[in-house]
Amino acid sequence: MGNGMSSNEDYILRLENINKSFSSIKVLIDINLKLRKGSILGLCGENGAGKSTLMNVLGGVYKRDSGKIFLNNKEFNPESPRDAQKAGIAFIHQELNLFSNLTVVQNFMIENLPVKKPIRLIDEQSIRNSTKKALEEFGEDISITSLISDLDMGHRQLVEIAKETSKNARIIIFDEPTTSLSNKEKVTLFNIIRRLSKKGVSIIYISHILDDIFELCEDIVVLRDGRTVGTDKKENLSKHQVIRMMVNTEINDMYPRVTKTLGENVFSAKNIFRKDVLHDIALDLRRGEIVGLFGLMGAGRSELVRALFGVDKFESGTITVNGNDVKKISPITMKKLGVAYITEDRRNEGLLIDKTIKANIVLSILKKLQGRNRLIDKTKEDSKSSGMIKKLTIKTYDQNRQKAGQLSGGNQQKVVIAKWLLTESKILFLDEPTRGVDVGAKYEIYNYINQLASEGSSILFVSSEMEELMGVCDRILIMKKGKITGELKQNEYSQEKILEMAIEW
Amino acid sequence: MKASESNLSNIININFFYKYGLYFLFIFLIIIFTILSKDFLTFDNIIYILLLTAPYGITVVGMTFVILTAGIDLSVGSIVFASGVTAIICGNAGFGVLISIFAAIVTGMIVGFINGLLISKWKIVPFLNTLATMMLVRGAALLYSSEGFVVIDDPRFMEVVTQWKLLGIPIIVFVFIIIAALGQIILRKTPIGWHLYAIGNNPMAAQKIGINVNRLTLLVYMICGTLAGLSGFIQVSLVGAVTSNFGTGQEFTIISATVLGGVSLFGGKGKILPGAVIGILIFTIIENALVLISANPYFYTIIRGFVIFLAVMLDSITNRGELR
Amino acid sequence: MKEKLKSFTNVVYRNPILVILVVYFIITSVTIPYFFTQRNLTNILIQSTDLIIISCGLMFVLLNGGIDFSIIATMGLGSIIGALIMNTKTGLLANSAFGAYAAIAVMLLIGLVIGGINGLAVVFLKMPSFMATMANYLIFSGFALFLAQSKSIANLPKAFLFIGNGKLFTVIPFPVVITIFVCIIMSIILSRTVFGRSIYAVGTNHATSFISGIPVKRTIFTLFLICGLLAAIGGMITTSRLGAGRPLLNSERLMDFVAAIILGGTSIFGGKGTVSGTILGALFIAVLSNSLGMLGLQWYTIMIIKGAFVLFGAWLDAYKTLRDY
Repeated sequence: MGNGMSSNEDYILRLENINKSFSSIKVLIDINLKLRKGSILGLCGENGAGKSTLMNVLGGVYKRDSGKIFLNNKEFNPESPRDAQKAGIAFIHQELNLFSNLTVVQNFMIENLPVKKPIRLIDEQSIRNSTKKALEEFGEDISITSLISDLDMGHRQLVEIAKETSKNARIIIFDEPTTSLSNKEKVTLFNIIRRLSKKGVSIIYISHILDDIFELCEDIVVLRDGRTVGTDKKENLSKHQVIRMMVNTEINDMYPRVTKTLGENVFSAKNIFRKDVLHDIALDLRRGEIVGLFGLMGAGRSELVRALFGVDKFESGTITVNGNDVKKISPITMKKLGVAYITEDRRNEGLLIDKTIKANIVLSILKKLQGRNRLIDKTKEDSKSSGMIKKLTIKTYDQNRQKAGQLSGGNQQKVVIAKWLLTESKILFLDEPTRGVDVGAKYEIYNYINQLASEGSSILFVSSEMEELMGVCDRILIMKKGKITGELKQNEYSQEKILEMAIEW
Repeated sequence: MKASESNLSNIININFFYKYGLYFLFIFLIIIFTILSKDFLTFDNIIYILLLTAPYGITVVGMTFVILTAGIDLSVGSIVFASGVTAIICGNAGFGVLISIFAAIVTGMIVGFINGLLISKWKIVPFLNTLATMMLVRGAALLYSSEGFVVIDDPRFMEVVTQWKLLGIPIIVFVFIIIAALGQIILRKTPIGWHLYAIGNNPMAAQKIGINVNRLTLLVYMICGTLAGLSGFIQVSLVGAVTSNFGTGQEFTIISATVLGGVSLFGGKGKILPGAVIGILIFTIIENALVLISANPYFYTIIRGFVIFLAVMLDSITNRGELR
Repeated sequence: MKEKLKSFTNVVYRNPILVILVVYFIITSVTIPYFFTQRNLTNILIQSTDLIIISCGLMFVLLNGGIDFSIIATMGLGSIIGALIMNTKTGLLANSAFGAYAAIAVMLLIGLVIGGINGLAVVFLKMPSFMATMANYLIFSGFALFLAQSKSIANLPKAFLFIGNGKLFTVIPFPVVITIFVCIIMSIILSRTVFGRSIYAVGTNHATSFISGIPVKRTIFTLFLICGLLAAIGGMITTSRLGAGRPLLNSERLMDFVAAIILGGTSIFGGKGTVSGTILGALFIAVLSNSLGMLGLQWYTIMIIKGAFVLFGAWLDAYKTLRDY
C-alpha cells in the first residue's frame, strides 16, 4: 500500500485518522488520505461510503470528531467554508453556486468584485477579460454576456469550473463533475484538469465513473462504509480490483427471509418517457413481490418513482394498476388505487415537521376517519394512530404533543410508513426508506417489508445501498442514465454484477 | 396516457411579450390618447405628465431596490404623509426650504431604517412588517400634526417644485431623472447592485458565498424610505397642504408601477431604466388622459385595479413558487 | 408548586393572548370608571361581533400564509348593492316583503364571487395573494364608490336592521347569536372535518400534502371562498348596525382584523391558528379600542398602539417559528 518512497514534504494535503459521526452513526472511521503536490487523486466509493462527508470535513462544512488535517505540513482546522476557500481549497459541487438571473460575467467574480477608483464602480472590463481568458482555456464557445438561465447544464458546470479554477486555488476538489456533461465537454474538462495539475494544482477527483478515474487519476483511494479500504497508484490496480474493494464481501445475516408465492401482475408501467430524465422505462410488479431498484447518483431512480406516483409530470407512457389503465395520474388517484409512496425527502415531502405525530400518521386516511355525521371521529383517530405507533414501535412520549420534527430519523421514517400503512395500500413505492435510520430501525423496516409482501403487497424498493436490496428483494432492476439497464434474479446477485451494470465504463 | 401540459408560454410566447410588451403598451397608450384628445401630445402636457410622474417615480426607484430582494414596502404611503407633514411643520417654523427638505428625507430614512432592521434582524415577513409600520407611521404623523391637517405658510415651498426651472422644465423633473439614473448605476455598476440581484435570485446561496444579506436588506429599505421621504416633500409642495388621508393607497400604485415595469415580485429581475420608470409613466399617462377625456373619476381606481391585476398576473404566470 | 408554576408559564407561552386579554381587562376594569358596566360591556360585545366574524374568515387565508385585502371591497360592495336593493325609498325591491332577504342573498353571493376570483387568481394564475387581492380591492371598491356616488344609502328595512340591532328573546343581541353560530361552525370545520385537517396540512407544507393525496389547489381555493363569505356576513352586521349602506364600509378597520388574527396566535408562515385564538384576539382589540376611546385618546393614537401590537405579534410569531428550526 501507499508510496513509501515519498516523505511528508511531497504532500500538499494529509488527512490522518479522521472520524466523524452523526447522532451515534459513524460515518467516517479512521480515514487516511494523502494528496501529492500537483497530482490527480481519484476518490471512489459506493453511495454512502463517506466521500461527501469527508470532503465536507475538509471544506469546513462539518467539524470532525477527531483526527488531523495537514495542509502543506501545517495543521489546518477549517471552521467554515470561507476558511477553506482562503486556504486555497476550491470545490466544484454537483449543485452549482451560480445565480441564474445574472450573466456569466456577473457571476464570475460575484463574491469579490474588483472596483475601480475613485468612485468604486465595478471594473467590468477586467472581469470580462479574466472571464474570457478562463473560458477560452476550455475551448468552449460560451458567450460571456448570456444569462446563466439560458445555458444548458453542461455549460453551467463549465462556467462554475472556470470560475473556481480562476481563483488560483491550490487544491481543487471535483465532486462528480461530469454527470451533466457531454462527451466532448468531458474531454475538454479532462484536458483542463491535466493542465491545472501540470501547473502545480493538486486535484481530488470524486466519481463513480471508473473509466474516468482510470483515465485521469494517478493515485486512487477507495472508501467503503466510512473506512479507507484501498490506497494505491493507478498502475497497480485494475477496475475489477477497485470494484471488489468498493463492495462489501461480508455476508450479513441481518436480512430476514420469508418464503412466499408470487401472484399475478398488479402494477405495470410502459414506455415511461420524460425528456432528459427518463427514457422508455418498463416495469412490472407481481403480487407479493419485492422489486429492488438500484442506481447511482443521477441515474434517475427517484425521478422514476415520482413519475409513477404522479408527483412529477412526464411526457408519455402508460401505467396500469390491477389491470386497469390509469387515466389521470396524480397522488390523489394513485392513493385511491391503493398505491403508497414513501419519499426520499422525508423532511420536506414526507412529514409535516411541526405538526404532531398523530396529525402526521392520520394525514392520508382523513376521509376514512369520518363518522356518520361526516365529522372526524376522534376516538377512531386516536385508536388508528396509537395502533400504528404500537405496531411499528414508534418511540414517543405523547402522540398528541410531540412534533414529528422532534423524533429521531428512524422514528420519523416509521411515522411516514405508518401514514401509508393505514391506507392499506397493496402497492408500495419506497424511496430510500432506510436512509438516515439507525441499524435497529433498519432491521425493523426490513421486517415490515417482508411481512407486507408475505401478506400479498407488492413493493418497489428504491435504494442506493446494494446490500439491503440484495438482502430483501426478489429481483433487482438497475438504472443508469434514466434507463433500466439490467435485471438480476435472486440467484444471480453479486455486488460486482450490480455495479458493473450501474457504472458508466 | 399523460397529457403533456399544453404550455401557455409556447402559444403566445410569453418571453417576447415579457420583454417588449411594456413598450408596446406604452406606445399604444400614447397613440390612443393622442387620437382621443388633441391636448395630450403637447409640450405643456408632456411637461405636466413628467411633473406628476416625478414624485411617484422617485419612490418607484426605491421600491425597485426593495422588490429586487423579493421584499415589499407597504409603508411608503405613510412615509410620504409623515415626511410631508414634517416638511411643512419645519417650514412653518421658519427653518427654510432646504432644512425642510432635509427633515423630510431624514424622516423617511428613519422609517426605512426601522423597517429594514425589523425585517433583517427579527425576520418579520416584509409585508406584515410594513403593514404594521404603515399604520404606526401614519398614526405618529397624525399625532404631531394636529390630526393631519397642515397648510404651508411659506410660498417658497410651492416655488421649489413649480417655479424652479431649467430650460423651461421644472427642476424636480431633473431630480427624478438624476435619481433614476443614479439608481440604475448602483444596480448595474456597483458590487452592491450585483449582490442585490444575487440575493433576489437565491438568498441562501448569496449568504453562502459571503454576501452580507442582512446589511443589504437593511440598506434597501433605507433607500426606499429615504426616497419616499423626498417624494413626500415634493408632493406636499405640489398641493400646498395635507389632510389626514394624504398618501393613502399610494403604496399600491408604486408597487404596481414597479411590477408593471418588469421588476418581479419574486425577486432578482428588473431594471429601473427603462422598465420601472415606464411603468410609473403608464400609470400617470392613464390618469392624465382620463382627466383630459373627462372620464368618470370613479373609473380611475377601477382602471388602476385592472392594470395592477394584469401586471401582477403577467409576472406570476411563470411563477414556480408556493401558492400563497 | 413548581409544577403548577411550570404549567402556568406553559399556558402563558401557548396562549399569550389569553393572558394579555385577562390582565388588560382587569386593569381597565379597575382604572377606568364606567368601563365595567353592563351597558359598556354589552357595547363591546356587540361591536366585537363583526370583528370576530371577519377576522375568522381572514384567518383561513392566513392559515395558508396568504392575505386578503379585498374583504374591504366585499363588504363595501355588498353593503351598497344590498342597500340599493332593499332600501325603503328608492330600492329595487323597496316595497317587497322579500327585499331584505334578496339583499342578504346577494350580499353573500358577492362575498363568494369576490372570494372565488381571488382564489382563481392565486391558484391558477399563481399570483401572490397580497397583490391579487389588493387589485380586486381597488376594482370592487371603485365599483362600490361609483354605485353609491360616494354617499351612504339609508332607510334600510326593519327586517334587515334586526340583524345588527335586534335582540333574541328580548335579551340576547342578535349579532351575538350569529357570531356564536358562525364561530361554532368554523371551529367544527377546522378541527373536526377532513377539509379542516387538510387546511392545516396544506398551510404547513404543500409538497407533503400533495404527496399524501390532499387536493392542495382545491383547498386553497376554498379558503378564499370562506374568507369572502364570512366578510360578507360581517359586513352585513356592520351595515345593519350603522343602518346604512356604505361604499367603504369597515375600510378603517383592516388593521383591526389583521391584529386580531396575529395576536390570536395565527402564524403568518401558515398552518397554525385557531378560531378560539382569533376570537380572543378580536375581543382584545374590541376591549382595547373601547377602553382607549374612553380614556379620550385620539383615533390615531389608538392606531399607533394597535400597530405596535401587530408588530409585537409578528415578532412573537417569527421568533417562535425560527426557534423551532
